[in-house]
Parts: sequence; C-alpha cells; structure tokens
Amino acid sequence: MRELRHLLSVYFHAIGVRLKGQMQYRVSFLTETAAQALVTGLDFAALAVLFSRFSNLRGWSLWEVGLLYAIVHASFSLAELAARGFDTFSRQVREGAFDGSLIRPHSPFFMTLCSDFHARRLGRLAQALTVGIVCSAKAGVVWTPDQVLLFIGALIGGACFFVALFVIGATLCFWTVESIELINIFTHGGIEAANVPISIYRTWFRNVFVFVVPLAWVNYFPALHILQRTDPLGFPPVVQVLAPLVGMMFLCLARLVWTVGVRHYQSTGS
Amino acid sequence: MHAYLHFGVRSFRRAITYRAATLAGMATNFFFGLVRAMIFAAFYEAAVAPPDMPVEQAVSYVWLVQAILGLGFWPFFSDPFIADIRTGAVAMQLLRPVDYQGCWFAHSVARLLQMTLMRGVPIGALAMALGFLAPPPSWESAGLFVLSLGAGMVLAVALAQVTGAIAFWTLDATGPSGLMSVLTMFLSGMLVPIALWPAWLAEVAHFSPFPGLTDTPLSIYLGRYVGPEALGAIGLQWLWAAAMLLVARGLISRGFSRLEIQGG
Amino acid sequence: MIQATDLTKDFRIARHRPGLLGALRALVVPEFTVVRAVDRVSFHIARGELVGYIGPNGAGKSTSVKMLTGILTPTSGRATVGGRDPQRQRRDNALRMGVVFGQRTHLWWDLPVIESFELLRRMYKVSLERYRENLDTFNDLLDLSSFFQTPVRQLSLGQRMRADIAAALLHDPEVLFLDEPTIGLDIVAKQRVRQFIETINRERRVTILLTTHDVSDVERLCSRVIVIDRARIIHDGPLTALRRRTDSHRTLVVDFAQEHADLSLAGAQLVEHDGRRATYRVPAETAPAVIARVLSEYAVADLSVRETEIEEVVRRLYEGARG
Repeated sequence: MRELRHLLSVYFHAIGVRLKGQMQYRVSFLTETAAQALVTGLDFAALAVLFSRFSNLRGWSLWEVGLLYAIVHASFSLAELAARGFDTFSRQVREGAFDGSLIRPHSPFFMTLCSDFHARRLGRLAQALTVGIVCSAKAGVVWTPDQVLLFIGALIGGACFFVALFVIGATLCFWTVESIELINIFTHGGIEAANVPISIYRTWFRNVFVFVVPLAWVNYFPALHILQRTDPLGFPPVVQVLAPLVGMMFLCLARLVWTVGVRHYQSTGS
Repeated sequence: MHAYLHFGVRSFRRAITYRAATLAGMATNFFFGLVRAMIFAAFYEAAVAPPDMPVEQAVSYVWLVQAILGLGFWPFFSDPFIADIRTGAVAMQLLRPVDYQGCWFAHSVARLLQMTLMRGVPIGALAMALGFLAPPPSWESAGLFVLSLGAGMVLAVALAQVTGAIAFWTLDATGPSGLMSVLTMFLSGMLVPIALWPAWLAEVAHFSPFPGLTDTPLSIYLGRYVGPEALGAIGLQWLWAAAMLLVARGLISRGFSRLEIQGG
Repeated sequence: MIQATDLTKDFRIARHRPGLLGALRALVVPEFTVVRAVDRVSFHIARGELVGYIGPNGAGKSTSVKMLTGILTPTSGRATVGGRDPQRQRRDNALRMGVVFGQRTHLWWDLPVIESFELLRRMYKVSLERYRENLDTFNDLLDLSSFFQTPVRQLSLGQRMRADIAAALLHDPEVLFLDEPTIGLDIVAKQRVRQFIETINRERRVTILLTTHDVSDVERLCSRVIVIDRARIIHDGPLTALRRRTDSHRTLVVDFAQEHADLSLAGAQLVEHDGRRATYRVPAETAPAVIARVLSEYAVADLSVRETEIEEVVRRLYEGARG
C-alpha cells in the first residue's frame, strides 16, 4: 500500500512538473487545447448532420449516440493524458533512451508511464464530457448514484483499454525499428467505429470488437445500461455493469506482453 | 518554366521514396472506409423519403474519400517550405534567383500527386474489386473527374500556401494550420457528402473554396454533375485556386519585405 | 564490491541478404551470425577502488557495463554488485548504484535540470535534508546553479555531463559506473570532471568503474586499470605493471654544450640528431648507467628522460594481444 502511494506521488509529480512547464506558454497552450477540442468535435458535428437528414440510426437517437461518442472520446483522452510515454515510445527506443529506464529503481513500465505528458489533450476531454452531459440530459438519463458510478467506471475501463493499446504498440517497438502504425487502426479506427452503436455493424466485424479487441466494452455495454436500453445483440444485462473490468483485464494482458518485450530487449540490446 | 518542371519531377521522384503511403497507412484508410460505409448504410435504413443521394452513391463516396485523402489532409508539419518560413531560414531564399512561390508550388503539387496516386490507386482498385466502389457511370464522368481532381490538387496547394504564408507573422504554425484543417475537413464534404447536408449549411459551404477539394470532384465522379454543370464546377475550382494563389503570392511578398525590414 | 565471473555476451545479428529475393528469404527463414561481444570477462573490484576500464572501440566495454548495471542479461557467467545480482535484483541494485553514460543523458529531456533532480529525489526516496546537502556540495564542486532552470536538451555538453554526474550521486550510491564521462569535453571541463570524480572517490569511498576511451583519464585518476580488447581482458593490474609489460625502453633527450661530430653512445640507439640535441632510445634497465656515462664524458646543457606515452603503451598492448 505504501509502495502504491509512493508510486502515485512520483507519477503525479512527473505529470505536475510538465503541466506547469506547458502552461507557462499560455497562448500556445490555449490555442492548441482549443484546436484539439474543435478538431475532435468534428466527429460529433458530422453525426449531427447525418441525424438531421435521417431521423435515427437503427432506433438510436442523436442524443443516445452522443453518449456513446462522449464515453469513447473521453476514455481515449484520459488514456492519452495518462500514458503518453507509451505513445511516443518508438522514438525513445530508437534514440537509446530506454536504457535510462532500466537503471532506475522502478519498473520500466512505470518509468515509461512517467516519461511524457501533454496537457493539450485536455481540450478533447473537456469537449467530450460536455457533449456527454448535454446529450445524456436530452436523452432523458436519470443520473442516480449507480449510473454515475458506471459512467466513471466506463471512463476508467475505457482509458485502460486505450492505454493497453498504447502499451502493445510500444512493445512492438522492441522488435521492429519501424513504429507499427497498425495500432492506429485500433485506436483511431476504433474510436471511429465506437462513435456509433457497435450493433449496427456486420456480425464478423462486430465480433472482433467484442471478443478480440474489447472495444465494445468501452462504451456500448455501459451506455446500454445508462440509457436503459435492451441489447439488440442479446447479451445478458449483467455484462453492462461489468464492462469496465474488461478494459482493466485487457490492460493486465498488455502489461504481460510488455514484460516479454522488455526481456527481449535485455537479451538483444538495442 | 523549365526549371520549375525539373524541380517538380525531382520532388516527385524523391517523394516516392518517402513511402508516405505505407501499407499500414493504407490499411487504416481501408478500415475507415469499411466503418464509414457501414455507418452510412445503417443510417439509410431510416430514410423516410429517398434522399437526393442514393445509398450506393453514398457508399462509393465514402470509399473515394479514403482514396483521395491527400487532398483534404495537408501535411503541414512535414512541409519543408512552411518549416523554413517558421524558422526564418526562408530569408536565404531572398538570395536565390528563382521564384519562391513557384518552387513551393512545384514541390507541393509533385508531392500531392505522388501521395494521391500511391494511396488512391491501390485503395480505389481494391474497393472496386471488392464491390464497395462503383466505377464512374460514363467515360465522360471519368474524364471530367480526372480534370476536377487536378483542379482540386492545385486548389489544395493554394490553400496550403495561404495557410503557410501566415507563418511569416505568427511564431507558431499550429494555429492557422489547425484552423485550416478543421475548416477543410468539414466544409469540403470529407465527413459527410454535401448532398446530405441541411440546405442552409450547404449554402454556407458553397460560398467557400473547400467543396472543390472533395465534394466537387467526387460528385463529378458519381455523375451527379454532368456536362456544362460539371464544367462550371471545375471552373469554380480553378477560380478559387487562382484567387488563393494570388492571395498567397501577396502574403509571401509581404512576408519577404517584412523579413528584409527586420534584417533577415 | 563488483565481481564479474566469466561474464559472456553473445549477440545474434540477423543476416541481411541482398536483393528482393534475399529480403523475402530473410523474412521467412532468418539467418543469424553470432557475435561474441564479451568473452569470459572476470575481475573483482574492491570497495572504494577507482578502476579504469579501457579498450578500443567495440572491444566490449559498454556491453560489460550494461551487464553490470542490469540493462543487458549475460549469455553466461555471473556478475554481482554489492552482493546483488544486477538482473535478478535490478531494482535493489539500482537504488545503490549510479550510472553515467557519456554518449547520452538519462535525465528527462524536456525538464529543467533542477526538476530532473527533484524527480530523482522522489524516485530514489532521498530525504530532503540529504538531498539539499548533496546538492550544495555538488554545486560547490561543479557549479551547477548557473543552469538549474535550463531544460536538459538546451545544455552544452560540458554542462550536461556535470548534471549527469551530480544526478548519479544524489542518492549516495555505493557504486558508480562512468561510461565515457569526459568524451567530447574540452581540457578545462575534463579537468573539472576528473577532479570531482577523484574527490567523490576519496571522500565518500564510492567504488568507481571508469570506462573510457581517453587513456589520460586513467592516468590521472586510476591506480588500477583493466584493459579489454576484442571481448577479452588482456591486462588487469596497476598502471605501473602495464608499463612494465610493454614499456621496455626510455627516450633520452640530451642537449650537448658543444657540437660533436659523432654522437653515438654505447648501449643506446640514436634516433634523432638536430644540432646539439640528440634523442636516444635506451633499454629501461640500462638507462641509468647510460645517463651516468653521458654526464661524466660530455658537457651537457640539459637532459631529459621520458617514459613512453601511455597511449603508445596501450597500443602496444593491443598489438601484442592480437599478434
């Protein structure tokens, strides 16, 4: 427990130092954050345009889809805020900076976690949460304590999911010099796919995101519960409440893969 | 003139070695095409009255957007000319006998051409082979499409130059380029074809140069603009391109004078 | 304190085949050549020693250090640092050791120096009091405060090196690994760094393994030197012993008071003759006798005896090992 507290204090100190440094460039910080918010808001704007032409998407309204959108975008922003070091890991390995993580009295996972932070992602987070609050109100969501808890849980589970993808992407850098862009398909492509209910896709496509890369568990299942909708896919309702755990398990899996990568690095050098 | 052509060809050759359209990048595009096509198809199920654009055209549109993505996404950060303006290294250009805008133009067109061909042809071919993308309804449409695409490329370069030239005044290029990206992505019709927009919004878009980047060439491909209407649309693309190039030229020369006054 | 026993490291390098067909083949059926970077290296360094570790480029110096610091796992053999296994007890070991890599810094690129130090203080759980004491001491010796607020990426090479060394010692490690700490520095900076290393070793009894390309570093600081060449240790012992092994001759430079036609000396080889100055090469053992004879038989204005340059000595050692 004390160890955990120590790790958290080091981690938040590392983030805090960078946040302070970045906020010093006030103008640049604000414009970048605002630009982020605008660019990522385009996805929702596009959906709004489509909903104005077509009244619903397989029975889902704009506001309900807005909640899905909010959860996945907010989760991704949280992941980018929390674990940017893994996102930029390919550069670190290429420049030989990873050795520095191995000479410290902490796990290389923790060191990489602490190695970078960019505050501008806050723009996207703020925008996503705003959309989420507005849409959920319009969709008639009643925010009882358990709903709020599930929403927060969904954000955390979703963030774990995306961090797991970053970690897997970073681990691949131990083997190939080229950074694998394939992970982008699952992060940015995943967000694109999860903006709408995963139930609208063809079965084979959908199943990948339910059973292999657990994207559906980030926002679809929790949203079903928050919106009090029945699942057209017919999954038992209990999964909706347990959904955040799947993201966390996925992260544990990614952590194991990472350990394999580190061992490989230690035996082959850079 | 000959010098610029030579410069352009050299840039084209060099751009091919960049492998900008990597396999993974194309896979990402392909994935986006799939997802968006499925989303559109699902939306169409709810259509009470048949919209202006039939679902097959909408799906083709989505795939075409992925193929010619290069027109909507200008790689501002890897543009060496904009980088030079930002860092001030552009001052050295004052010593050169060639026209800065000309060089920039030749380089950019070459690069855009390379990106579009290397990405567009494989993705387009694959989409057609899988039956996702329908070929143009007539040879006339196909020909006009190529013309419109060319005009669109010139327009894209012109807009990029205007955006980049602003860097003569601002320290940071992310502001103007960020704004330009947002405007482009939305108003060009990259996300949703303008035919599906509410009328008032479509009006707004048509008063801007952006539809010429995506919606115009793709509408021509789909046969939605034919004959004189299509030629008119292409003409409009050229008009905007010329206007933007002039604006860019003005900005660049103003920018250079500013540098001279400041002492370079 | 530092014990290496038959430490060996092999690297498998994938063979690149030419042409497109070769590239495809290499992808499907990769072939490897095994390169032995470190070959059964053994040594023992006692607590408080300041040992030099020298060798030509690619000899295996950095690889050995990486194994001792837990970055690489050895192919075979064992290493212990302070009784701990650098791989199995990596974190424990990290807490009690400091590492400086001259080629690149391991401070945080984007943070000011002082913030990097602060972060390290927390990571290594150094008490605020001890941290401040150390910071003051290092600041006195290395003059760090002038660039405390500068981001690490904007430091000059000399400043960066000083920051790196101070950072490595903030947590009072028992052992310090310095890998090329003076590389690229000018004479003044080198002197400062060497002075600091010597002080730390003397006052704090920190065990130091100094890997360097620059033999004069070793000459100034180390009483013992380990020489590695082509993955093997070819010498381990006092610097004087190194000389004795390869340095059998002395250079004698005599400035005669008058011109002489014949300047040959018995038992000495005349190397150069320029006016009144003659340079001889004399076997070390007979040098004193030759000097005595010169002084008694000739009028001499000035005389100097030089040992061979240490670089020359080491080069001869490499050649001897390879010959």
